[in-house]
Amino acid sequence: MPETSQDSALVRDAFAGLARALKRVSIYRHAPGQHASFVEPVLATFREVLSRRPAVTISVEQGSLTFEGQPVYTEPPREWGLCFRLHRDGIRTITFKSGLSAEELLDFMDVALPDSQGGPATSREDAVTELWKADLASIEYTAIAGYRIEEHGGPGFSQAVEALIERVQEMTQASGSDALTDHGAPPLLWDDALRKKNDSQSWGELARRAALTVLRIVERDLAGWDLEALQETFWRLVDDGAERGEVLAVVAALDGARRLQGQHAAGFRTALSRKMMDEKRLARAVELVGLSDKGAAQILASWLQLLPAEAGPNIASALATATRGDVIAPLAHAALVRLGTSRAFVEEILHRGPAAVSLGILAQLGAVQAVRPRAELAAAALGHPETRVRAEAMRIVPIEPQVAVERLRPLLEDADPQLRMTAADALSSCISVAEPAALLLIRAMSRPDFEQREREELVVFHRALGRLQSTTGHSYLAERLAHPKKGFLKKRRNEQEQLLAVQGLAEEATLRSLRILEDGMVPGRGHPPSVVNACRAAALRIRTPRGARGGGNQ
Amino acid sequence: MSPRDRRPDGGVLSQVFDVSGAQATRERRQQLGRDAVMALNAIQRNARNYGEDNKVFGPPIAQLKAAVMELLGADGLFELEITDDELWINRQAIRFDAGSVPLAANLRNELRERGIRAIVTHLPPPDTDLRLLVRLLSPAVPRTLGPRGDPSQPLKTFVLRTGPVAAAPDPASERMTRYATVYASAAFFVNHTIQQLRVGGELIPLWAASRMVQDLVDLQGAAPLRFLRLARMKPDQPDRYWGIHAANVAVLAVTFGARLGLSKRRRHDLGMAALFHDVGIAAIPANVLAKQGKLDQKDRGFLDASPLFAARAILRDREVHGAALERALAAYECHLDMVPKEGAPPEVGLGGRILAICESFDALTTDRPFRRAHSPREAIGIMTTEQLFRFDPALVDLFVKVAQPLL
Repeated sequence: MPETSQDSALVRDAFAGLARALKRVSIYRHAPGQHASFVEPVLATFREVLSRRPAVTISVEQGSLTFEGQPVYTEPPREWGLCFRLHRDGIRTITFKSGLSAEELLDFMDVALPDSQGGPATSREDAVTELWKADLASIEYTAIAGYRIEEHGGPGFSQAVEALIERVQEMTQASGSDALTDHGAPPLLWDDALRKKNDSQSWGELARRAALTVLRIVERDLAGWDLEALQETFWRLVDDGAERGEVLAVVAALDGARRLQGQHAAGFRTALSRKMMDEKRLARAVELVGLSDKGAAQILASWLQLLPAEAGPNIASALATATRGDVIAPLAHAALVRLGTSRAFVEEILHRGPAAVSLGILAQLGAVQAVRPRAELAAAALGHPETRVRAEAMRIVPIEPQVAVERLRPLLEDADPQLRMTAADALSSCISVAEPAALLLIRAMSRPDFEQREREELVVFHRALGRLQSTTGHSYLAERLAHPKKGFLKKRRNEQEQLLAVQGLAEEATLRSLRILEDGMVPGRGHPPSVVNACRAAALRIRTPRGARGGGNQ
Repeated sequence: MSPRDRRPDGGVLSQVFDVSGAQATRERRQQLGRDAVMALNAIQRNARNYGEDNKVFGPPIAQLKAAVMELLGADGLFELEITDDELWINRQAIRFDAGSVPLAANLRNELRERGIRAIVTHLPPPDTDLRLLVRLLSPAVPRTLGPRGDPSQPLKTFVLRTGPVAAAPDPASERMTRYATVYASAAFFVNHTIQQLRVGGELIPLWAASRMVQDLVDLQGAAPLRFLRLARMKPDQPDRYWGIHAANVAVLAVTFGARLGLSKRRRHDLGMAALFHDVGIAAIPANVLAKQGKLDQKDRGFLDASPLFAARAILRDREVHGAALERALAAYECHLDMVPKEGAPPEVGLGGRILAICESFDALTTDRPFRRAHSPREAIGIMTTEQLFRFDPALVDLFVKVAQPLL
C-alpha cells in the first residue's frame, strides 16, 4: 500500500475512533474520570500516524473532515453536528502535531463535542474562542481571518476605523523608537497561592450572582424589552445549575425569585414556574435532595414553592416514585396544596401507591384546609393493600362523620381484627351522625360469627356503640343487659353479654345509661353478682366527675 | 479582487464595502442571494440531463431573474462571488441553513471547476443571457471562458470574473497596523454596540468581539510594553469616548491580568468584560451624559442604573457559560464601591475588582465634559486616597506597578 494511502487509512481510523469517543463522552458527560480511557485507542492511532509524518492537517467542511482531499469523517450537515459547528464558527483546518497528549485530545474533544440536539448552544462559546482558550500545544487550527464587522458596521465603518487607526499609529510613532522595544515579559505580581486565593470563582458562584443580578434588573424595572430574554437566562441558570448539582446557586436563585418584588415579579415567576414544572426538571430537583451538599435539603422546598397550580399532576407523578422521607413530605405537601389539579393522582397513590408514600400523604393532609376533601382523600386510602395505611386513614376519616359512615362500613367486616377494631373506634367519634353509625356497628355486631371473636374486639365494639350515645345503640345495649340472648351454654353466655353491655353503657355515660346501670344493681333483677358489681362500678364512674377519676380514660 | 483579498487583518479597513446599515436591507439581500444560489444550483443540476431549451429551466430562470432584478433595483448591482469557502452576494456573505449547505457547496464547486470567480451585472439581463447561463453550467461548457463567457456565444449583460479563487489571506500583517487595527476595531465595536443598543438595532456578533480580544491578548504577550502604551490613546471627539475608553480599559485589564499571571482564558474574560463594561451607558440620555453641572436626582438615577443596563445587555444573550457570566458580572460589579456608604460590602469578583481600577484610571486621565483630564500620576494619587473606598486596596497597589510605564 502506498505510504499516503496508508496514512489516509490511519487518519480515517483515528477519526472513526474519535467519533466513537465523542459519542461516549457525550453519554458520560458527568463522569469525566472515565473520559481518558475513551481516548486511549484514538491517541494510539494518532501517534502511529504522527510517527510517520510530523503533522496531520484536516480540512473542515460543513459536512465532512478531509485529509489530503479524502473524507476521513462525514456526517449529515445538521446544526448540532461537529463539522457544521466547527465550520460555522469559522474553523477551516485543524492540525495535529507530534507530541499530542491524551489531555490535549480531551480538551479538543471538549470543543468538538457536538451541541446538544434541539437546544440552543448557550453553555459554551464559539469553537474558535474555545480552541484559542484551550491553548493546545500540539493541536493547531486556522480560522477565517478578520472580524468581519464591516458587514454589520454600516457605511461609517471604514471611515471611522481608518481615522482611528491613523491616530493610533501616529501616537505609537510619536512615542519614539525606544517605546517600540520591549524587553521581555515583566515579572509576575502574584504567585500561584495568591492567584488561587483571589481567583477561585466556580461556575456555581458566578451563576448565583448572575441570577441575583437578573432579579435586581427585573425588580428595578430596568429589563425593558429584554424581559423575556432575561427570564430565559435566569431559567437557564437554574436549569444548568440543577444539571451541574450546584444546589446553593439554585436555592439562592429560586429564593430570590420567590421574594422578587416589582411590577414584573408575578409574570417573571409565572414564566419561570411553567418551565420548572417539567417532569424531567422536577425529577432532577428531587435527585438533588440526595446530594450531600449544603443546601440540598432546601432545594426541593424552594423548587416546589414556585410551581404553579397546574403542576399538580407532575408533582404527584414525582411523588409516586419517591422513596426518601425527606422527599415524600415536601412533594406530598405540594401536591395537596394543588389539589385542584392533583386530586385524582393523589387519590390513586393513596389507594394503591407505595405504603411509605401513602403514609407520607396522610401525614401531610393537614395542608388541605377543607374538611370534607381531607376526609375523602383519607378515605381513598381505606382500600390500600397495606394494613398500616388503612389504619392511619381510618384515624383521619372521621373528621367528616358523613364520609366515615359512608366509607368505614366495609372495614367493620375486614378480615383483620385490628382493622375492624380501629374502624369501630373511628366510627364511635361520629356523634353528629350517631344513629346511622350505630346501625352500622349493630349490623356488624349482629353477624353470626361476631360472638366468636376475641373478647378485646367485642369490648371495643360495645364501647364504640355506647360512645355514640345514639338511641338505637342505647336500646341495643339496654336490651342486652336486661335480656341477654339464650344459648347452649346459657348462664355463662348471658353473663358475658351483660358485662359487655355494661361496658357500652358506661362509655355512653348519659343519664339514661346511668338509670339502666342503677337498675341493674337492684338485687331483685336477678343478675349474676359479677354483672351487679360491674353495674355498680360503671354507675360510680359515671357519677364521678371526669377530673376526679384519675388514671385517664378507663 | 475578491472580498477575501480585501479582508486581511491589515487591509480590512481600507476596503469600502457598499453595504447598507439597514438590517431589513441586509436580510432581504441575504434572501435574494439564497434565491439566486438555489436557482443556479437547480439550473446546474438540470443541465446534466436536459437541453438548454427545455421547459424545466423555466422556473429557476424566473427565480434567478427576479432576484437579479430586485438586487439591481436596490444596489444597482448583481454580484455573486465565490471565495474558497463561501458565496457572497453584493459583498455580503450569504448565510445558509443546514439543509441548503450541500447545495451551496455544490454550486461553489461547479463554478470553481469552470474557473468562474464571480458573476456580475449592472444591467437587467435579457432572457437570452439567462439561457446562456444554462449552457455555462452544463457539462458541455467550453474549456476556456472569457469575461463574457463562451466567446462563440457571448453574454450581453453578465460579466464573469475568472481565474483561481484566492486563498485565505495571510493573518500575519505588519505589526504596527495590526496593533492599531485591533485597537480601532475594538473601539468601533463598542461605539457601534452602544449606538445599536440605543435604537434597538442589530448588534455586531459576539464572536467578532471575542476574536478582537483574542488578538489583544496575543499582542500583549508579544510586546507587553508597546501594547500597554495603546492605553495612552484619548478620544478626539466626545462621542467617541466610550469606544476608546473601553478599548483602553481592555488594554489595561489584559495587561494587569498578565502581570498577575492569570491564564489566557481569564485574560480573555477580562478583555471581553472591559469592552462591555460601559454599554449600559446606552440607556442614559445624551443630555445627561453631556451635562457639565451637578446632576439632579433623576439624572443620578440614570447613572446608578447604568451598571445594571450593562449586565442586561450581556445577560439578554441567554448565554450561561462561565465566560458570559464573568463578563456580565464584571461589567456590573466594577461599578460597585468596595466599601459602600451604607449597607454591607457587595460581592465583587476578581474581574470586577480589576476592571474598577482600570476603568477609573482611564476615566480620570481623560477629558470629560465636567472636568479636565488628570495626569496619570494625579489619577493614581486620587485612586489611592480619596477614591480608595471604591477599590480593592491590595490590587490598587499592584496596579501602580503595572501602570508604571504610563506614569
